[in-house]
Amino acid sequence: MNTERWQHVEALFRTAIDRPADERDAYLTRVCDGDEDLRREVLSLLERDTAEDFIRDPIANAALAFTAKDDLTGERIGPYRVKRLIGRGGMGDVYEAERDDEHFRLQVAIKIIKRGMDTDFVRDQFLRERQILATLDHPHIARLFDGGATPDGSPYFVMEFVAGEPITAYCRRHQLSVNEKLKLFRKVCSAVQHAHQRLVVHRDLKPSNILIAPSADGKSGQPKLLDFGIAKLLSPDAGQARTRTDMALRMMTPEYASPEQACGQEVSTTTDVYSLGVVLYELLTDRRPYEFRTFAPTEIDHSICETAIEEPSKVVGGMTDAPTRLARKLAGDLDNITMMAIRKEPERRYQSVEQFSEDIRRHLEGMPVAARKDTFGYRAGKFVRRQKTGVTILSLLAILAVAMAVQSVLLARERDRANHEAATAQAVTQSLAAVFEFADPGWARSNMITAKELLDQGAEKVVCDLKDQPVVQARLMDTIGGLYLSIGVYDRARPLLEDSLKLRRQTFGAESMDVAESLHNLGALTYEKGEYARSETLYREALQLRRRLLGTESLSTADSMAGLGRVLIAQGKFAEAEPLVRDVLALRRRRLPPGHKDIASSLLHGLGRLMSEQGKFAEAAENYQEALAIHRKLYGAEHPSTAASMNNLAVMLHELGDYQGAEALSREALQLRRKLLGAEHPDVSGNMVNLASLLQDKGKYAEAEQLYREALQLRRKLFGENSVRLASTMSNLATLLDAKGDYEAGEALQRQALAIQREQLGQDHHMVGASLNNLATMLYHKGRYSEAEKLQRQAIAIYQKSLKPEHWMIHRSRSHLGDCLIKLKRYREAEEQLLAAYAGLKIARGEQHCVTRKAVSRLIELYEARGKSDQAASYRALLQSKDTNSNPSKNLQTDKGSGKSRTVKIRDHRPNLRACKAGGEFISSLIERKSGQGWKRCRIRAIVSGPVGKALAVSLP
Amino acid sequence: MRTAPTNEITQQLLRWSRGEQAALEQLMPVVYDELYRLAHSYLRRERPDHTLQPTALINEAYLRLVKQDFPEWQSRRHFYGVAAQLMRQILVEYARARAADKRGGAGRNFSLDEALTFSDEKASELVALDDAMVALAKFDERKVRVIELRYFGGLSMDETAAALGLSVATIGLETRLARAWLRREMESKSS
Repeated sequence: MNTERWQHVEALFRTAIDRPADERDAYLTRVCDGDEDLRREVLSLLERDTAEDFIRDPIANAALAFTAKDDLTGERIGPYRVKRLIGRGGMGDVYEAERDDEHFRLQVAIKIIKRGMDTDFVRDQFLRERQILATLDHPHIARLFDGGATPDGSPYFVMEFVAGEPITAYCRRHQLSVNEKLKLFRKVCSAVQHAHQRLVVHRDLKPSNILIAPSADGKSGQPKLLDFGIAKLLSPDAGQARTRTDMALRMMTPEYASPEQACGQEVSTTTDVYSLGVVLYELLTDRRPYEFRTFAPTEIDHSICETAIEEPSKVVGGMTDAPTRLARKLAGDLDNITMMAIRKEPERRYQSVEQFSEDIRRHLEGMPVAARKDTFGYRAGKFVRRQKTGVTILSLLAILAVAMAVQSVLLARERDRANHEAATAQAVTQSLAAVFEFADPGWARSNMITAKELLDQGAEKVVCDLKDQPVVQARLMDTIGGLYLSIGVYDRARPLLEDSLKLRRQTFGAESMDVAESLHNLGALTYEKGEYARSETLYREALQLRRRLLGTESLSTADSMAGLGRVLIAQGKFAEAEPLVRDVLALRRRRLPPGHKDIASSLLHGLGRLMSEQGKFAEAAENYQEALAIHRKLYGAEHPSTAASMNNLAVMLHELGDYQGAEALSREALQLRRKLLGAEHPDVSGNMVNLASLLQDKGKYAEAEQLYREALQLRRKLFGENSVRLASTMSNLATLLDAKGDYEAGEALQRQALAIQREQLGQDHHMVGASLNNLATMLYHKGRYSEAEKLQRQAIAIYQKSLKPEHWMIHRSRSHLGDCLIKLKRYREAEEQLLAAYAGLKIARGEQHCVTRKAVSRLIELYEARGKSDQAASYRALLQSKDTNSNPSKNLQTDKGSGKSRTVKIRDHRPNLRACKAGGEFISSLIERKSGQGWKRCRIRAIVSGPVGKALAVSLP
Repeated sequence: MRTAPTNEITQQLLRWSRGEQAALEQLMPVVYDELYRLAHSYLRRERPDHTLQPTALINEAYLRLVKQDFPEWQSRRHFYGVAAQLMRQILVEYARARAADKRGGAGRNFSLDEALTFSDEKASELVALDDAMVALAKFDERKVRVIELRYFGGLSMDETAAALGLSVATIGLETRLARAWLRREMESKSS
């Protein structure tokens, strides 16, 4: 572009830009005076007078990547300030860091992937370590607090900072006696054992990974196991670890590596036995079984696989007087124990760390030990001869092993009381959690009160006695809170869970897995309490954290997704819930063995529930049936989960018209729940409502009413006066009262329910719509048609916002609306609504369903009122033909009492129901639908058959 | 912050502006820190006009420069310009290497928060921006300097105005037109 032209463009740009956007074109057309190119040029620039992100973002990103530093000392990582580099490893660096806010100081170790090392493999390993640590919880294993990614994307995790020194150095410095060393060593064994029980093999046990945090007297230091970096999970899940064995091997430390590791063979728990044996050897003798002088591959492979190891007593003997005494101490048992642990052949070692540790205990207590001298004698070269190919691989790997061995530079520090206390208290945690375990209703059966009392005691202890140990206190509060939640004692659960969250935020910062756990549990509590908006927020926060810290494939992440799914369903946010609940189910089916309880939970509370809410009852029933099968298989008949699936399935059978099956199942579930959960459990109240609704439909009003009232009382007590769950039961009872003809009481109760729902759920929740629909029907019964019309239109508007357009409840309300319009003699409008309702209901619920049939009978009424007898007759034919064709299993009981027909002349709609009941002319079928947290009522009256019915149909609402 | 004595920085910056690439090595620690700050202030979505501090590289060195009455520096503008140019050059070279290096490489499949990782796509965007700036400089160098100072040097409008001896209003208009032109240029190249 030439300069002069550009100056012209610039001048026009400057003047045009001050003008309102819609005047610019006209302005430019005027000033460019026919120079179309110029006008377009300026205009195209004006159009791009936008944000600066397109410049800032690439600069920021390049600057960020470029400046990702090697040493992060002085930086902040999340809420932590990095104090110094304490170790560099093959994959990552370890820093000492500090969380420092006004309330709390926490010393942590942060492990972070080194820039440039963030290959997929290293990241996988790194994430694996994180996942492994998350499953381990032992006072002698450094705890995982937190994790995340730095702004430039390097993953990191935050661990308990262990202010200690390697076990060998510690023993030397404190000049521990042999017995003291053995006792300390057994603590290490207990940690390794814990990992083995969780199918984790450490694979890199060595003194620098076994730190001892000193105690006041210098004699009772607490070990901490670090660095599960090359640990391998033994479960099939971790199958890919095997294909990467060679990479992992490069990272091993040759002095403590077992022959099978050196040869690249299958690693098992006995591999850790070997490495522990080497550590014990070193503790007892101050030497390693073999020392490498040159780190030449040939020397390493020779030593590990071929060299016969001298017994500890032989190594320490004959130097000075003191070691000779030591030699005598070691000779015999301790020689045998040590040598048995480090035999070259894995199958001839102790088969578990537990056996190893147990033998040491026997020795300490003067009992005979299991280990014997190796009577077969180790024949040098035997192992190697059997493993020829392995040795070649070893030669290559050994070079890398030396080059890449993880060299943690861990400096001894002043003793740190806090660390020690944390360790002790974690032991407390475990034992307490164990004590409380039987308070879970599945175990406790009918001993609810005992369980609650026990929890009360525990909670008090935790709150009072653990004030100075926030980490442990938070943990226990969460545990006990969760148990209260599971026995339905919400008012006790809440303060514990809330305090736990607060403590954890103070301790670990906002971004930690502990915080995520607390958020999740609070989400569950608020869900149970019916505080859905709050619950949704909590679950979202928990989910976001877990996604970030654990990834999208994690089962914990799935748990939070499931929780969020539930609360979305409860709020009627079906569109958002659907992908979520389907994903959870798919993920759990993928990650868990078939028949796992969490799969059942997904079917029961996720997909099944969603299908049910959307009126897809057959699909829902299928899901519930599968859940019930899983629960029966897992827990047998007498378990709360089995009862829960029975209850849900019963509701679906009710919906599908199988009243007999539904009633039997519902009664059984209720009985079970009362027995297992006690009479005052929320699930018991839910079950009562379901059964009552079924009984109401069967015409057993007295029993239904009693159940509703009991449930209402219970819910008032459990959830408070303003709960949605209370409101839904009120609404149920209201329809029953209305059906009984007690219109005033019914209407009052319904209005009360509506007010609560509006307050708790907002104006546009579909349950508000359902209540409006109920209320409209009640007003209709009183002959207040205009009011009913208005309410019904409101209900429809709400449904249209909150439900899918094909949802049957929309069409049900249209059918009701059509009925009101008939009464108001606005026939054209009525016809429009009824035709639409009939078409929609036919698809959503089928021709046979009472709600569909009701729409048909209203069409008949309409056409008769307008004198269009032909059309009326054709619809009547439809109604009658359906009777004979109906599927018996789905047939609603429409012919009861038809044999005792008696003509009843009805002028007034108000008393008609009573009259009809008395006369037994027709079936008045009241169908309830369970929906949301409570009940939405679909009232269908006057399913009429026969000539009498025909007469009545005209006058019935 | 690892900073070399500032007078030395100034010296090295001058040497670099004369074409001595060896001076860059001495400057690197400071440049590192500056770019780090720049990146993080951008990521916090700070707007240069409000909260972003001028980079210490520019500020501290300039103060030192003024005090010592460095004769080699012809003007304040010269100094700021050189510093911003340096940062631009370093970043663009880095991005070019990165964009060329990783082209066709396997994508990452890492699930942690990826929002802030440097992707090859973003590297290419910076290269495209630089190409456009080169093209703009052919007929309007001043606008390129404005963009450099503001976005690569992290200067505010006021500081940019002071550095170039222009009014703030002019800098505003220069920035807007330069941005629009660069954007259009980048669009036309990418399509």
